[in-house]
Amino acid sequence: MSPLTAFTNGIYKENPIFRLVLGLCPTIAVSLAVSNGIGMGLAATFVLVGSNLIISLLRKLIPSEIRIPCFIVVIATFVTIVDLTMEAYLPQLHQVLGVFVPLIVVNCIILARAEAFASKNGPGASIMDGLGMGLGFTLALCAISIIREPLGTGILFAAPDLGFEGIRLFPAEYAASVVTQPVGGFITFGLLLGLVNLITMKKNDKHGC
Amino acid sequence: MRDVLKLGLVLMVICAISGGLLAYVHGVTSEIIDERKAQEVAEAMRVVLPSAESFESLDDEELASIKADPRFAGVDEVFEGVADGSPVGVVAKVQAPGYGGKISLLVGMDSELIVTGLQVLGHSETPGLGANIAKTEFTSQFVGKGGARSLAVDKDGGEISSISGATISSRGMVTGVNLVRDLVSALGIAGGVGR
Repeated sequence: MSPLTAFTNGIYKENPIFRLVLGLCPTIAVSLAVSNGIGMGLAATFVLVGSNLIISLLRKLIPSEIRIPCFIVVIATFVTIVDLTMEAYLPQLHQVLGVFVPLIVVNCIILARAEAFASKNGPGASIMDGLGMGLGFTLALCAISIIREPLGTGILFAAPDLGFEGIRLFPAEYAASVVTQPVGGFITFGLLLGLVNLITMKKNDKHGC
Repeated sequence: MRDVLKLGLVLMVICAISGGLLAYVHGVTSEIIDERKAQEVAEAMRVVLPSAESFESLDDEELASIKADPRFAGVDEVFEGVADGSPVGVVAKVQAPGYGGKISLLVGMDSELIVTGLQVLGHSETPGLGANIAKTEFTSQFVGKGGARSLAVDKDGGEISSISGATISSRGMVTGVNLVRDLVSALGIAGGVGR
């Protein structure tokens, strides 16, 4: 697989959220505001690229029987380093991302890419795969939160930690707070997933459906 | 058998490298993090009790005896605000029950049991609903209130207007502030009566 294919793969054809349907827990939890989505997406991308690189380099040294615990140790180490370093040197950003940074450990996209890609491919392709998957994850989070944020709060692009109030589209009284609950997250996600499937089917078979 | 040993060894080496790396990163970063946190707490204390010039932490024995009382189990830390050599009030860090977990609060109170300031240090309330307790629009209504009577939300006939859709979070905040009020009045810390 060429590095470019590995990169574009994660964005559309194997988008972790809409095509592989992986990592839904953090997706539902953080897709309440576009700023959260971008923050979580970029932090996950960083860890994904790092863990893919390390696991790809170690892939010949790790016996296959214990590869999963090894991968988890590498991923958890990476997340903790990112978490501590960010808290020490970028406190503002750490405050914005807050609980999302430790949450990356339980994001199954990262373990899935370690298992499915990095343990079978070279470091270069693994980095591109991490970048593509991370970007695909970020885009999917943005797509969900750009619907949930205004419907649930009446505000778009609010980033209180950056001192930006956001654009108020309609008064808070008309906002449907159920959209901010997990239920609303699953409904939004389901509708978007259906839309993506519809587009994919139309593309693959012009006569079908 | 030999296989098990080999696998265990590989895993051990990986974990040891990871552990060593984390110990190093933690060693480098923890100093910076602790320093900044202490600075943040000091700044927050100055905001919630502006009349004080300096803050003295209660010693461990006093704090332990407060915590031994089941009523004050939610009290984390207590500081006495001092100005011109005499106590002017108390800043207490308390845990209050919220909707999604504990709410960590820093409350400043003068010797008349009036709230001088309030800051939410941490919480896990629902974003967009209960999370609004941390906003100044909500916290500012506590300031200047208190005194003889304990506080309550409007639904319970009190003076604090709760956030719509987040009554439990709002009540939790009131519980936290009342805890500090009870603490100050029970121990007479601010007036120095109970010491």
